[in-house]
Amino acid sequence: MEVIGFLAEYGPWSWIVAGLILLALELVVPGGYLLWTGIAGILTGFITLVQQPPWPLQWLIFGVLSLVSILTWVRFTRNRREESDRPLLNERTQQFVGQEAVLDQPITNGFGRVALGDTVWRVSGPDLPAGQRVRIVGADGNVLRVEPR
Amino acid sequence: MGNEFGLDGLSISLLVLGILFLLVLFAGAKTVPQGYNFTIERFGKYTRTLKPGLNLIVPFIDGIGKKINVMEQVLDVPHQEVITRDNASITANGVTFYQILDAAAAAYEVSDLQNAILNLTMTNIRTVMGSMDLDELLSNRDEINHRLLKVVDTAVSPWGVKITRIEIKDIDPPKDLVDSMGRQMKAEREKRAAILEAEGRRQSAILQAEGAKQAQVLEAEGRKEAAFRDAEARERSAEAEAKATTMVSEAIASGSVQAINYFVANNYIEALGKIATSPNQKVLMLPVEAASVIGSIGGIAEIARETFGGAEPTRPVRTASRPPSVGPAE
Repeated sequence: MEVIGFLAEYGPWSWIVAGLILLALELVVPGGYLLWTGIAGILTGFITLVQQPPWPLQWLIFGVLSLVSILTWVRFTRNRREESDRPLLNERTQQFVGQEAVLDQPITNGFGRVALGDTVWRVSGPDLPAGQRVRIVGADGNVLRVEPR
Repeated sequence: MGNEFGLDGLSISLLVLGILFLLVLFAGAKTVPQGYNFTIERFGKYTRTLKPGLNLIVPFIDGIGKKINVMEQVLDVPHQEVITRDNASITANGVTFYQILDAAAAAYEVSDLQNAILNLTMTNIRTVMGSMDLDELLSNRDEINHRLLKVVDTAVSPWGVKITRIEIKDIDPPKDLVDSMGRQMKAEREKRAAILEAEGRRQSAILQAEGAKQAQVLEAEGRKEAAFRDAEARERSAEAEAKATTMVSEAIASGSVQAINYFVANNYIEALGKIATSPNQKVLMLPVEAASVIGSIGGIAEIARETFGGAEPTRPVRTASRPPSVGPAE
């Protein structure tokens, strides 16, 4: 309960200090939660500097701001493409989409095989003879969908 | 509680609400690291999969189900006994590489995915290796790997997993078998060496015989040639002799007998000279008719007369003995 006493004593600055500490902790402890609470803490501090709401309300503001900050971030990133120089990392089947290959085995009953990337993949598509060139258009699990070129 | 802080119900509510918001934040924001997919369960039922990055889920209702590693993973296949088609008991181990492509299927279609893949791989190693002879086994690893991959990859298909490769690491036949394999190889090499040596000896014998034959043939040919030449030489000398004789007799016929006497006398005197100069000759042997040598000089005079002047041929000087002469006696 010293925390509450501390907060009462230092008023708005305690929020800012706490927010900064949370931001610092975010750097040390991974997880991505403390960032938003840290931002919210600092913002709450500024709000209480301007006008002093009763401290339970300050806590409410703090909680709401935490949610608002993360929602803002999500909105912000959703409007622009996820920034990554390797968007297909760990998406092995998606990496093949658009590539062409030659059927090792004919597609019969909807399934055949293709050698790709140092291993053999099962493919599904219309019945085709072996040796036919195909284009990969998608994937279901570990089966690639192909269509004749 | 809490009344020593002088709080009314509203304040407590606000405080709790603020803390609740924080908890909502913790429950609703999920950061998924790269290389993992998280499944979301709504009241225990699967709904969707979270991709890497910051994700929001509905707090209270949604929860993280399973954290699936979607990186390619390596699974060690431990040593196991396998009996080959020709009843050799070997131990083999290997390694399997797999990657989860469909996190939901891997999470819920199978329980304990690693164990499942491991068991599938092990049983199929038995199946594939048990259908081969030991020699095939040791030399066809590529084919074994290929067959294993085909079978296991198809089998794990419903679990959203891709087996990228299966490799057999060690194939260890029992020690006595390895020994006999070594012996077999040694014997094989020795046999080859022996055959090569015999081959060499045979070749050399053949070559030597060939050489000897060639030499004899050449020698015989040489002899034949020599004989031919000898015969020719004898023929030639006989011819020459005959010619000489003919010429001499022609000369005699056309000339006079005295010419021959000249030659004979010449040789006669030469022979005498040789006898005289012989170094170890103490006794000079004169032929009985030595004196008659002089008589041949008469022949010379005869020739001179015929040549230089057609004067009357004088009677040769009479000596005590008859000169050696050829031709008809006068």
